[in-house]
Amino acid sequence: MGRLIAQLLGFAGLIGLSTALSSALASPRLLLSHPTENPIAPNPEASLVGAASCSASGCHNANGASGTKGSEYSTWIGADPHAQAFAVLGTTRSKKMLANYKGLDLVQADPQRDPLCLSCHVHPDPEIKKKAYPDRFSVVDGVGCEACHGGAAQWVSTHYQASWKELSNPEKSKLGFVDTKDLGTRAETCVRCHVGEKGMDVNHDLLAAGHPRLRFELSAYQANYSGRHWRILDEKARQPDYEWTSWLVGQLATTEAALDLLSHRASHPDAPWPELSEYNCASCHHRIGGDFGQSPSAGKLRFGTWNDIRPNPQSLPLAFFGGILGDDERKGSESLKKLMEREPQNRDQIRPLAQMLSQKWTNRFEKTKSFAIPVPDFGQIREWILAQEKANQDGTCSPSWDKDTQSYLLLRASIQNVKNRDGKVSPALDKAVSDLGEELGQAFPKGKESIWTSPEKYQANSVRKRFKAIQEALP
Amino acid sequence: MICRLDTHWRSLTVWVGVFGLAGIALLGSLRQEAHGQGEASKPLPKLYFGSQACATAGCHEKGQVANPPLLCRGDEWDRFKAHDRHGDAYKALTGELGIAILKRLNFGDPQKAKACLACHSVNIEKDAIKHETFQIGEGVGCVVCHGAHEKWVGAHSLVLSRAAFRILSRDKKETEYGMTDLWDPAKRTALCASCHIGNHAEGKFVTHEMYAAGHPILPGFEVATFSEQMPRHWQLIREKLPEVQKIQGHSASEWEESQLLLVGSAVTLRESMRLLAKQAESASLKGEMLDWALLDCISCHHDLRLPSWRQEQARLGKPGRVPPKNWPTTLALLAGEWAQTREALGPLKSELFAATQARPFGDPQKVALAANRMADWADRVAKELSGKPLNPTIGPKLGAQLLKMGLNPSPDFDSARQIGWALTLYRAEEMALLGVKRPQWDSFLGEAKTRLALKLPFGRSGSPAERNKEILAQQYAFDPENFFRWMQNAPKVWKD
Repeated sequence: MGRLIAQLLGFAGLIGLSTALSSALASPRLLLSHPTENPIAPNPEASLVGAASCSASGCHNANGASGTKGSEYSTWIGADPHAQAFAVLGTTRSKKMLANYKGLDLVQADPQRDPLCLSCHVHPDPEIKKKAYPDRFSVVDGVGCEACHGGAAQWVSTHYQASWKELSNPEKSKLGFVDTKDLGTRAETCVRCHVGEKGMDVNHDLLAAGHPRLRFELSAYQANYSGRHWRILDEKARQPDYEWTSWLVGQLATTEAALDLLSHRASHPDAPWPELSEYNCASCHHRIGGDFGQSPSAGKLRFGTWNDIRPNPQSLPLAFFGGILGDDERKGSESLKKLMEREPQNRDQIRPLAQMLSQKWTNRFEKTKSFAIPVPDFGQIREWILAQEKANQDGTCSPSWDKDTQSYLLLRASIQNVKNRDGKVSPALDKAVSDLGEELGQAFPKGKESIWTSPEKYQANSVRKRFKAIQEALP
Repeated sequence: MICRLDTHWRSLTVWVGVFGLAGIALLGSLRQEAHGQGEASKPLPKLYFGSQACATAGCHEKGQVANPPLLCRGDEWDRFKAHDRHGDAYKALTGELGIAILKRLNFGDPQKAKACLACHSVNIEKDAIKHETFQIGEGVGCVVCHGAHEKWVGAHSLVLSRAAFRILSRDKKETEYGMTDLWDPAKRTALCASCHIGNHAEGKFVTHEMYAAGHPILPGFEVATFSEQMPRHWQLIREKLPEVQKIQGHSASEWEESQLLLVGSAVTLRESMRLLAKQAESASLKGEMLDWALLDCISCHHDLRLPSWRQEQARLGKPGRVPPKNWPTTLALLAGEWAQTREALGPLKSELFAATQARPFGDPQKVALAANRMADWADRVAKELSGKPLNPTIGPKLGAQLLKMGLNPSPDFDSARQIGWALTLYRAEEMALLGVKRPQWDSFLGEAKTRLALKLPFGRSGSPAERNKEILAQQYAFDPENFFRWMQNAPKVWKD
């Protein structure tokens, strides 16, 4: 699991490089007093007041144990990779990336000033300069509190008062506050950067320039989030099935964002096309030779292996969420997959399909916010594994590291969910699932260069046995 | 009436049957040649003989020398049968891998799979031009390269006509009798390249789909090295009898293989570009992408890891965009210098490169334009060089220029291999012609042989599948910066 997670959280490898630098940069503006004692000058356009506004010791900077109440800021600054997001742009590696991407000399490339880089490494708003209070907000903070919780100018000085609790969610939202306690809202917040959107696009050009691949899955990201600054206990209290719900809304939000991005990529005449980051990297990036004819992609690009958009029994997001999509979405997403794989060049046909699906998904996802999330029992999971393996066997589906890892993450989330509710998980099942995670993590060759490499050692057949073992261990 | 009487009865019947009547007519026509009354050239009728026809008649087997001077060595078939895998080309389709590939491609019966047969045997238009000795199982047999025409096969073998045929010019043998002039470097290269690179008009093209189904990767092609490693079943000019050299209009001191290398590199570029242009034109018309087999394989098929030299290299194009195969231009660049062309290859290369970078997998229309331009350039260079054999004065100058090429920074594996092959070939010819000793160079080239996997998976010794794996492993381990640094340590001049 450890190596697998290191793969998923691609940026984690950089933390060591930049922690010291970033802490040094971020700390001088710590506020010792309450924000009310440091009033914000009115500015109708601006909303960002900077992470330091949250750093009063009596508020979020108690400097207690990581993740404890009152120590949110302390946790973020000390343990959250988001706090290093700006600092990492200053490394030679980031400079090389931007130089490669834009065809610049290394000395000219300055990722710490580049809007594309800053949009995810600081704040997802193209108007960041206008929106920030220059004396308070600093890009040096990286992905600070307001990147997720919303621009705080209008609520920073009131949100701890009794009156705040009386406001409804829409009222809070109007003031700029983002309710990240709601898992749907949280998922939508994460995917803006971790999947991407217009103007925040980690496309294949940028990947080839050296950027790590984006592979987001909410429940795994939460489980391994070193900067978690809230308590699992509270999370469980709000939503007893939060692990499973996180997985599910994470998948839905990811699909929504992926379709949105695809639709933007297909519509924008200046965007590269075909956009290769839509496909499984291993479609092309695998070694030739060895066992001839064992090419994982049979010479075709494989679409939707990580962000699977298809609402069919073999696909992940909706395997347990059947009725949510209508027939036209089902048919549409099948056609989209076919087009993307068979005629990747055919932008004109792909565009309207992607736009239509993206619109439908947005509507559907909104509905799920009021939907009672169904939690599958082990019997259903068994059925799902059986269906998946049958599809792999009869060739309707071709296994890949991406898909198998997504399946693993589903299993992990569902088992964790049972454990959270003090349900029974047999040691055999626990082991079978963790063995699968181990094997998927081992697919990356070892060595100091292994962090962002391709899963060269992935063996579909061997992984099939792991799924069989899990299926047998399921009650 | 022909050859040995102890020949196998079947082949005797065959030969008497085929040539009994034709021989008289041929003799008549050869006499006409002698009087300068040759017919105006019109397409010669085709006939596909089987290789057995050349072998069991006792002519190209067991080195028997009848009626010298023979232009050939007489044991071609023995050499071909023992070592040359062209004869196994069809069998490759019916082996384990071949069956699997055909099945994946849904190609059906290998005997009818035109896309395969075009290179693994021949596509014969109608049964009538298939001689009874022809067997598809013989793969790429003698006449596939030497010319599938009854007229020359008869004329060169019949007792009554062969002496007269032998002294005809190569050109006459080809145009009037249908015997392909493989001594012409440009013609030989074009013929080999039709399979080893591909030829649109002849339906020879290993598509990306075929590769994905398991077809081994076609390596970069260098005609002189490939000829040598087949292994060759013919003699070089310098190995032949002086009378034969005279008949062929050549001298023993010619730098024959280096000439083949130079002309061959221009023709190889021309054929690569013609294939690319034709495929790109067709893709452009159909609104498709370029077939990925035409682009640089390793630009996609590489490991994803950081740090990597891919991120360290100063980039010419967009990251993540696939460039064209670079290797066909490597030696052609030298050929261009040697031919003293006015137009440089560099700008044409840049134009093609830009066309492939315009969008992912290239803009087919622009690629077609650029590739056609480069093909025309290569054609001019090939023609220029074909008229200039490398004589003893200028031949020795090639080494220094080759070395200069090798010192260009950061080539890809296939391009580095072109340089490695060229240096090795040149050095061997220099040794044979001048007897110059260069121990430093020889040890350097010995290392290059391993580093660049210069030995091809040819010949019958060893398993080609295993050899292919070794070559690919070398290719994956190849680091352009390392190669460049290593080349810097090459002996500084073409002298020891």
